[in-house]
Amino acid sequence: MSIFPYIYYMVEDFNITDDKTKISVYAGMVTSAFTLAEFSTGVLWGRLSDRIGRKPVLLTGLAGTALSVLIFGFAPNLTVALIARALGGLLNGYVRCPPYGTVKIDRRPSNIGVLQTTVAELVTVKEHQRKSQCLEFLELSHPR
Amino acid sequence: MIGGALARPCISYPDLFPPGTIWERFPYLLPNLFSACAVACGVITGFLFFEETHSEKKHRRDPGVELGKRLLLWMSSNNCQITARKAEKQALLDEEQLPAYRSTENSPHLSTSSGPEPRESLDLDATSDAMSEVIEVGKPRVFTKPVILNIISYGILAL
Repeated sequence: MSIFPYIYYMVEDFNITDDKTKISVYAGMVTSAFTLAEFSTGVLWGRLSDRIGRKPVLLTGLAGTALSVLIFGFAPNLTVALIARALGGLLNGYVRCPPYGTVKIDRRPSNIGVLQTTVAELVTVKEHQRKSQCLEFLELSHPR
Repeated sequence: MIGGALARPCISYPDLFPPGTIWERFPYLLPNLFSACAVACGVITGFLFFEETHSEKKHRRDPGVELGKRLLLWMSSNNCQITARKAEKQALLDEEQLPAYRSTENSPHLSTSSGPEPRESLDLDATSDAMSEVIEVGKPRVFTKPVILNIISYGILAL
């Protein structure tokens, strides 16, 4: 679930600053911490999944995301909230970052995530690979 | 939408979440708890039933999948015990003769063809016809059950 509906009020409740305009800055920081962490560490997830397999990477990523979301819910101040979001982004990298030995769809190496690679590895019939591309929506299956 | 609906439950639903409880101390806990539970369900399902797809790691022993299979077996044995017994009784009572296993023939006859003959389809019209055939057959079959389920799940995620 996205945090956008209530992040402003959450930062307001932290009582960091009296200036209302600054609250949006901190809310933006919290929101973008997730994507920044994902961007920074995501490449490693793909490489790791090549070494240890898709299932461990996907499951640890999911479990870590659940944990980070829980920590975010219990955050008493901005620092903890930022750390929780960054952790969530860190562990969410499996969605986007390609394993080294990427599966070739339509004979082109595709820069797709571990999740999509899993789907592509599952679908072996050539005709069905086009349908599996519709499942690109799988990368949305995580809270942002 | 669900994030916004579940935030600050003491203010939004004072009857369900009375003030003075943990929901007042952590007003943004509820949407995150809901999210964490949903993801935890996914983790459990994935651990029990998700099979490895990596070509080299596929054949590794997977305790999670084994546990999942045992669980399914246990559940199906609970449900199908009665029906299985009935089917057994019916098969025994029937007087039909099962086809006897014949061992009089020697080895099965192999076909005399030497293997698949190389087909040279250099005709461009033929290949484009074949491709258009595939596309035409594929069009009405896009909305299969898994695709529809995925679309529904993303509709729910959008909330």
